[in-house]
Amino acid sequence: MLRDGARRYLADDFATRRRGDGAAGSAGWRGYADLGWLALLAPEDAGGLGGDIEDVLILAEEMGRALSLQPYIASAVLATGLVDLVAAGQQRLDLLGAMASGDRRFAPALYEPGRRYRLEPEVRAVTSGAGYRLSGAKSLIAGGAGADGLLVTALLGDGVVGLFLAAMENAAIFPTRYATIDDADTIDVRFEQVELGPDALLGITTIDAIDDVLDEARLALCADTLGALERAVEITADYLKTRTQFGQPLANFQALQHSVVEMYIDADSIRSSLYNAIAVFDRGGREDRRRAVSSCWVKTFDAAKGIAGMAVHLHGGIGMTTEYPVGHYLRRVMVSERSFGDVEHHLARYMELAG
Amino acid sequence: MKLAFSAEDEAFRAEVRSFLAAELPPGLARREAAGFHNKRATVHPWQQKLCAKGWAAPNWPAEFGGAGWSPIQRYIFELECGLANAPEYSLIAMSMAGPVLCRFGSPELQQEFLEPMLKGDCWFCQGFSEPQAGSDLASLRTRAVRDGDDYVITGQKIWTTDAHMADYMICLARTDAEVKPQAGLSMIIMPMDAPGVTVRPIDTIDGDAHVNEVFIEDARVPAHYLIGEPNSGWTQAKYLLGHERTHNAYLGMLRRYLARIPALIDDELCRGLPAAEAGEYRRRHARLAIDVDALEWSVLRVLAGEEGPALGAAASAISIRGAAYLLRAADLEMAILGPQVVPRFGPDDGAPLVAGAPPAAAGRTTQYLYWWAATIFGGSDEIQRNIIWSTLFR
Repeated sequence: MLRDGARRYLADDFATRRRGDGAAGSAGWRGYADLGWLALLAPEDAGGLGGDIEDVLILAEEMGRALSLQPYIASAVLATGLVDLVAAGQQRLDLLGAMASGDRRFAPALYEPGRRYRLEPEVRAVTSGAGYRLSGAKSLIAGGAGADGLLVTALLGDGVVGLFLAAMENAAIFPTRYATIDDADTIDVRFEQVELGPDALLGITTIDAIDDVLDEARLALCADTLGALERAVEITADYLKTRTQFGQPLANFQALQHSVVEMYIDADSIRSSLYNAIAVFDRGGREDRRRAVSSCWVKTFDAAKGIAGMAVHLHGGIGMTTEYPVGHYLRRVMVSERSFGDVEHHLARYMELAG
Repeated sequence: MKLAFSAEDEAFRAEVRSFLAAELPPGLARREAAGFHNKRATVHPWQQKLCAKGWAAPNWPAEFGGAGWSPIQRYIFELECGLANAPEYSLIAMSMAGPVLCRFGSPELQQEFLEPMLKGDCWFCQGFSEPQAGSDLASLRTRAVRDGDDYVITGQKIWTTDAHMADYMICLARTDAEVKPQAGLSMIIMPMDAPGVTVRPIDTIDGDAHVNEVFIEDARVPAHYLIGEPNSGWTQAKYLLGHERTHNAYLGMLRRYLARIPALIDDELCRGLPAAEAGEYRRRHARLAIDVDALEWSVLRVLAGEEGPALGAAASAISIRGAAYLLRAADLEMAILGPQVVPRFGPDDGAPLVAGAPPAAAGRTTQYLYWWAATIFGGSDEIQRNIIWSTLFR
């Protein structure tokens, strides 16, 4: 039911965007809020639905399928998880409520230039009067463009990591806005002696705890990718049935049939890997969860470019055009596989835990 | 989709594990672990133990002496047997002829054959493929002609697994040449000692001989040995091939490989292996483990009864990937063993042909070579891809 509704709602996303009727397509953030999608993972005590990760994964699949550019995983899944983890008391309730209703949208700023996928921040926060002063830089902040604020990890000294909420209108935050190859908006930021009030520090946390929250976002991104790849396979099979060469549909040629079948098996194996991770998520301890998420990540992104690239290939020239959707799946997975650690990063994490 | 093993499943797993630990003959497990096929005589005591426990036939209905397990329990049993290095036994009788007889056989045939099959006293081979009928099975030419109270069978079978040690063949033969190819086939039980039946083993590249040519010249078989109605053989064959949808994932064997490969990297046999190479092999092992985790869930999705059009394609997809992963696992062992793979070995237990040559890699090598057959038998990878295409995309 959730899936059917989401599929209908997101159906025209890509076409609308191509027509230029709105940078983010027809299904805007407000619409997501009205459908309750932003409240799915927020706890019930903060006005959320306290939903299941599985519902989020279904939505993520549909968003990948529809090539949606809304920063759902960054600003709904990850940001909600971080605030829920770190903030406390009335501030936690207020922020989670505002995020769930769509009134405020935040973008997590975890990664830094020249630090690949390390989560340990080099951005520093020092006390300044009653508040804090932030310096350093963050990069590739998904959902950062148009966000109300950034959720910034910063070093408070002695290896203590704090999570700060920095409002975007602060004059000492210098954002650089640019498009990523999947046509999404992103920003890098420099913090030049950014003065923050005492309540900007949401709380103290640990890299391990952040990594745990990230694992939910990682699974969501794997699901997004699965949805994208399954759609790419469908589009390709349909195209082969309509395109005629040598006096017959391309779908009559066994070599092409078998290429599509291999794409299908690879994509469906990602679904199996995702189910494995979900099962572990429900009952496993931290190590088991990490292992299962990294396993799913490697499985997903080892196969993703091969499937999406083959979808382009089997279309011939039309697959190379920006006008046609299939090539956008390839561009999307290239961004996704670099979002929360890449294949090598997760293979290493898997092997450390496998011991 | 949620699926977790219940407390009962885990208790069952523990029971299987302790049974295997107590009852599986160590010599048998050693030979199996080394990579060699066990023979009929050596696996017979093991089958009898399983039979006494009521576990000999995981795939049969309980009323015929089957274990009466749920799909998940069958899967757990296969996995634990794989990990414990328990050998397969009487494969054709237990997994193919048995289920077909349970489903389609007359009470007389069930009475005559099922119990001896269970006890391991009656082995079957499967006479499907012919020299001109491989992937195109329906074009087979072996005929069974009714003559009084008998059928007279004439023809030739090939790639017949276990024919050299079987008591009977479950033989797919043409009983009506006037109808379309699939509609004129029947399954009939043929005693291998019937006059006119000649078996010739075929040496295969893995250094063993499990498959045979079978020449059949006017072999007489009692008419009631024909299973079910005449000309219903194609239906029965499809039932048989679809019966064990998930067996071809080879998960038991894959788990066995995954468990032993890290130890092989550190084995004395691989002395001199450079650290960088060892690291690369560990990475290949990790990638394989990740793929096998996913394959396992592909199997569980089928066992849990996931529905939709993809179910029809699932068995084929599982079979393709299962065979591919077996080859990757075995090839990884070949890579790790390096030069140890090269010396040629004898046919049994891998005794070196030249005195003093290292024997230890022989079993791993014979397994690697054998797994290429997994991309061919039970419907080649290409046939499986055809099935997936026509199920999902045509």
